Amino acid sequence: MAIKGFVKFAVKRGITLYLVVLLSIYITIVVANMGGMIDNFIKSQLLFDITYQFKRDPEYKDLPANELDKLIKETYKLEIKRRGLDKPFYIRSLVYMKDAITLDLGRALYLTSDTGSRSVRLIILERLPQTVMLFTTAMIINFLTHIFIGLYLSRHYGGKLDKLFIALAPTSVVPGWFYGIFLILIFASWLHILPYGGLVDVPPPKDPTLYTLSVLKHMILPLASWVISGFFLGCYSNRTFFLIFSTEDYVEAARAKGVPPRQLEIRYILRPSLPPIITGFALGLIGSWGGAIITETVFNWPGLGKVTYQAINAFDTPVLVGVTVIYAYLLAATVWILDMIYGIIDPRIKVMYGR
Amino acid sequence: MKTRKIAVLLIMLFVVATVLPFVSYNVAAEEEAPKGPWVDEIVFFAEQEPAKVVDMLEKGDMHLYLIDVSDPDLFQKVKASPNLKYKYAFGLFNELTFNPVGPTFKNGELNPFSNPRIREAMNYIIDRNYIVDEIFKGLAKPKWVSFISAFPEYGRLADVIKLLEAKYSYNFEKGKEIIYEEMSKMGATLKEGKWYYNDKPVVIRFLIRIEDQRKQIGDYVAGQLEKLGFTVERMYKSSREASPIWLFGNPAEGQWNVYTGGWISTVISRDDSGDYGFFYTNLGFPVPLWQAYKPDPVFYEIALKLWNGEWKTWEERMELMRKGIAYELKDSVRIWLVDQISPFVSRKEIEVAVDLSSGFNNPIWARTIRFAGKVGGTIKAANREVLVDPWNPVAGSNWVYDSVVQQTLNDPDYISNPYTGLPMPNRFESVSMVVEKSVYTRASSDWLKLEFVDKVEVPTDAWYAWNYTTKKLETAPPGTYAKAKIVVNYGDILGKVKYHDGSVMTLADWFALWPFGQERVNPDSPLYDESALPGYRNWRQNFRGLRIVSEHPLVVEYYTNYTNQEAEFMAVWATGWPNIPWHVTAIGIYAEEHGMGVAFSADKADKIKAEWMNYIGGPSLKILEKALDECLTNGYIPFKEWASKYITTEEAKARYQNLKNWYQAHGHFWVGTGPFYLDTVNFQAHQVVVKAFRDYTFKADRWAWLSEPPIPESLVEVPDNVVPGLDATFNVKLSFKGKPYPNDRIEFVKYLLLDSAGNVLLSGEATPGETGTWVVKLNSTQTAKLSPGTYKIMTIALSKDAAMPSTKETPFTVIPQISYFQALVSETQSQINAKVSTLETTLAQTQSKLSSLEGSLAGLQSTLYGALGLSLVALLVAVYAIFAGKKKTES
Repeated sequence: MAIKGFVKFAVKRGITLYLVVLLSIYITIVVANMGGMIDNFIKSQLLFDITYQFKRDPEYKDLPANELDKLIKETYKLEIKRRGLDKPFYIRSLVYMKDAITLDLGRALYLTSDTGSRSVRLIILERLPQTVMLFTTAMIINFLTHIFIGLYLSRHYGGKLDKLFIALAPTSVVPGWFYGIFLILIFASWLHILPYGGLVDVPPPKDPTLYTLSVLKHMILPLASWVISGFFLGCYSNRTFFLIFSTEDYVEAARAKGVPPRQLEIRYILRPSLPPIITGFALGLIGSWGGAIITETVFNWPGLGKVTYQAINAFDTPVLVGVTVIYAYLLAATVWILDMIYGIIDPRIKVMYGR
Repeated sequence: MKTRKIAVLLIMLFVVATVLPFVSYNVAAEEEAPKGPWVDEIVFFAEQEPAKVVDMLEKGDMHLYLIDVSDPDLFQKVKASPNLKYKYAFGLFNELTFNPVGPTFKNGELNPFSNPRIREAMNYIIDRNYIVDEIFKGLAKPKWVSFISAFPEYGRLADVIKLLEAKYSYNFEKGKEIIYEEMSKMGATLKEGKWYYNDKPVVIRFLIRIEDQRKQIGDYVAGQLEKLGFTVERMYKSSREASPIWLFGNPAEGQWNVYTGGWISTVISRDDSGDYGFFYTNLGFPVPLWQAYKPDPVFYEIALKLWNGEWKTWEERMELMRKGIAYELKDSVRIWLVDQISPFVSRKEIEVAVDLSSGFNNPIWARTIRFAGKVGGTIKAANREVLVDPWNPVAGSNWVYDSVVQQTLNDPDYISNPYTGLPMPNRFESVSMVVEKSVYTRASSDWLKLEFVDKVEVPTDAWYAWNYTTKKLETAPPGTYAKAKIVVNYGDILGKVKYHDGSVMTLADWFALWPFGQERVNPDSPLYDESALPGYRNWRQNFRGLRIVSEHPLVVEYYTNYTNQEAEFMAVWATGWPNIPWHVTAIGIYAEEHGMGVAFSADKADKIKAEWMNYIGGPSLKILEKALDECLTNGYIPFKEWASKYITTEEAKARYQNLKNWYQAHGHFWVGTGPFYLDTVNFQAHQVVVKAFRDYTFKADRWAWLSEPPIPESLVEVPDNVVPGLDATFNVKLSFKGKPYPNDRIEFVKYLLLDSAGNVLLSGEATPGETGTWVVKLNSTQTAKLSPGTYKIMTIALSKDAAMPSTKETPFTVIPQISYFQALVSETQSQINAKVSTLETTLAQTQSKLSSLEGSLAGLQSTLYGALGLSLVALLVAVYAIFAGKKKTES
């Protein structure tokens, strides 16, 4: 009964999530095209560029006016066709949707991957390693430091350090890239000991070890900016979170029973607070794969955030849809897995699907 | 002792031996230019943030930035830095576009700018100097006409333009008066400082672009319009948001009245005769706005004649240009605001030529760049982007970010002179051209010989077309005529020029792939590419035939219908250079032909859902590698029916082997003949390393003479005073780097005489004097027209070697005749007085000399008397002595 209920619960959750994913993808398609209005922008810009190019090129000066106009129209038509703009928006939106459902991310309209491919899959995949390298590392560092310092602070509630963290928590409202600018000013511009940005030295070292070290050197400042930015608030939030758990009746009871502090922390505070922590971690992990537009721009870091930004500027719907599809599927899968884990470990949910 | 001497000698020898190599190296470095480029390598990397760019340049982390640094505040930092230097380029310009429909729109609203007088008056309302000083902080020049002030057309018409600039200079009250008058005539009423039409406020819908300084310009102009009593609706839009409204919307709908326009010229434009047609008539764009332009019929006729090249002589053309320019301002469907100045920044120690229009987007930069006084070294060059689109030899990336790198690797047949825009031979030696008499063209370069004939017939053995059905060459049918025959001498190059992969150029590199361009438009061919059609049609229209005249030296004869008023452009329409060897293109042809999942053009790649072919990276590389292996195994010869007369199977295999070795060493397929070769490409970091190709044909100092733009510096020597009715001579001294500018390199020196209000009173051309000097002579009739006061002489000198005219304003004074004569009399009087006084002084001096002479004489007299006395005494003593002696002897 329980297994059947669980399967039913899992399928139901899966279908719901999938429908939400599809809906959000279609909304993205419509928004990215501004309901088809973008077509007019693109078409007008195209005609302007092509006409200007032909009419100002001395090579075409000798062509009779009607021939030249024909040439312009032909070129324009070809370009419109190439970009698929000859088909109505609603048809294209369904094609994008089909691609999204089948996970065929298709071809970009303007953007190319780092290595010059129009494949959306490659556009995303080629940027993903750098994004993961920087932002997932930052996320993990933040996650671990926030937990352990938060735990420490909750244990030393009211102490000098605790007060200091409370006082400094508002500093985290300043975004990471803002700290990044200061870090660049201090360590790159003034002290000249760390690079201004980029992935690797100029020119890139040929030796793989030196290359790796160079990449690590280039990660220091962007990583530091994210760590600094989230540090105080992150620790403060965790400390508050743990404090709430540490004032639960069962913790008080255990403390009264004389359970040693270390054991108290691990068994009575950390363990029950694990599900929300894991949720936060899983969602943070996926979030980190999206990159960060401004931080990447400030540090000239070739990540996925910049690609997304470029795609937004260029109205490159397939790329935007591609990024959204991947993110949406990952998110949905994570949420589903978490739901399943909770379903297994949380008695309240057990009761729910057991009914 | 002896040992010590030997030791000293040895030490000296050691010192000499140690120092000598350095001395000789430095001497060599100063004197010997290596083959290929000056530097050893260039590393390209991406940096987008201008503030960071300036800081990195300052710290030496970057040697030059390949895009302009146009932020006015940052540029002040650059100017102040002792470590940085900059060069200017031009080509961006701003204007205001008016909606000319009216007097009312479809919705019944009044459109003030339908009235040409109001549009014209807007020239007085806009203070262009304010825009230059406050918005662009000096990085712009005020602009009244469409021609860019740094380019030749402006220089040619400078005397007329200066008149117009003076006439239409900022005068708010004058503009307001005209606008008020015209608004009233149009039925609008002014109530409490606001204009109303049919009891509704007259609203100006102002489309303001937001991406650059046009936002500030828009706000400024909107403010001026509000001061005139208009209600302004500021519509801030990006390019994409604005263009459907102003460019493609129906202007009669009244969605907008004014738009902040901006244009760009990426090359030095030498012929702007199409400007009137393009900017002021319906010839420009096939869109509703342009079709709404209704210029004055005379202006339209001028524009049309220039648009169609309906003129016989240069003088006739210039006359049309002169006539038309005043109409630009009369019509004013757009009013010009500024020519932007774009600074290109580098470290102080870097020497490099920068194109006056396109900055670093000219191959000349890679051929002149060096560390001052040094050979070798690594240049760190940053760009906004590096590696954008795929590279391939047929239809690859055309991004400037990619082409600026490719310019180091590829060698073109010609290079545009960075300061004049005229083509200069890079890979050919000379051209002789025979042109049909009916075509107007002229040549000013010494590499080009030009003659005219009645008719140019294409010989029947000339290549005319590739028949892709029969796979055979078609020769020119009898009775085929062309506008010109262009005979190009490429020099003795076959078997001598080396490619980066070690292959040596043969005739196959020139002609083996001749059918390719035509196969691409054959719908039955696997190489068919729809996107190649427009370009092919234009080529077919102009191409009339080709014939190989000789192989050593390589001389090729081309027949064309393409014409241009400057014969150099006709010549380079024909010339070519096989920068990419045939075997490199062949692997791409093979891959596309065999449907291996790649296509040369983006269009075809999208159509067949294949990869856009990339010779330097991405998924294409594996496909091309496979294609190369198959080509190598099979000894593939593309278009075998044709190309096998140029290539044997063994030669083909040897070439493919060279490419394979190259690919194994460098990991890409980009092979050319340029001064650098592509060493490594890092797509992750967006970096490219190019290294010096020391087997390059030419030495590094080949283009050294282009390191600085030879714009003449002017100095005008004015007469102390100009007197009405008397001749006056002004000497215009032209120099460059302190040396007199050769007169034969000057196109003209024009002058304008302006009164204190800026009105032009006289104009003309100066005549050459001694080297570096041009003389402006005003005769008595001309000076008689000048009333006393302060004037300015403006000189405009245009060099043949730099498109940018050198202008100079020098004040001088005209004094009344009476004052002149009074001055002359008083001068004469003072001269006489001076002479009299000199005479008096001389006399006094003579007198005193005489007195002193008198004294001396008196002294002399006394001495004489003394001497006489003494002589007498001596005589007496002598006589006495004689007598006394005699007595003694006798006794």
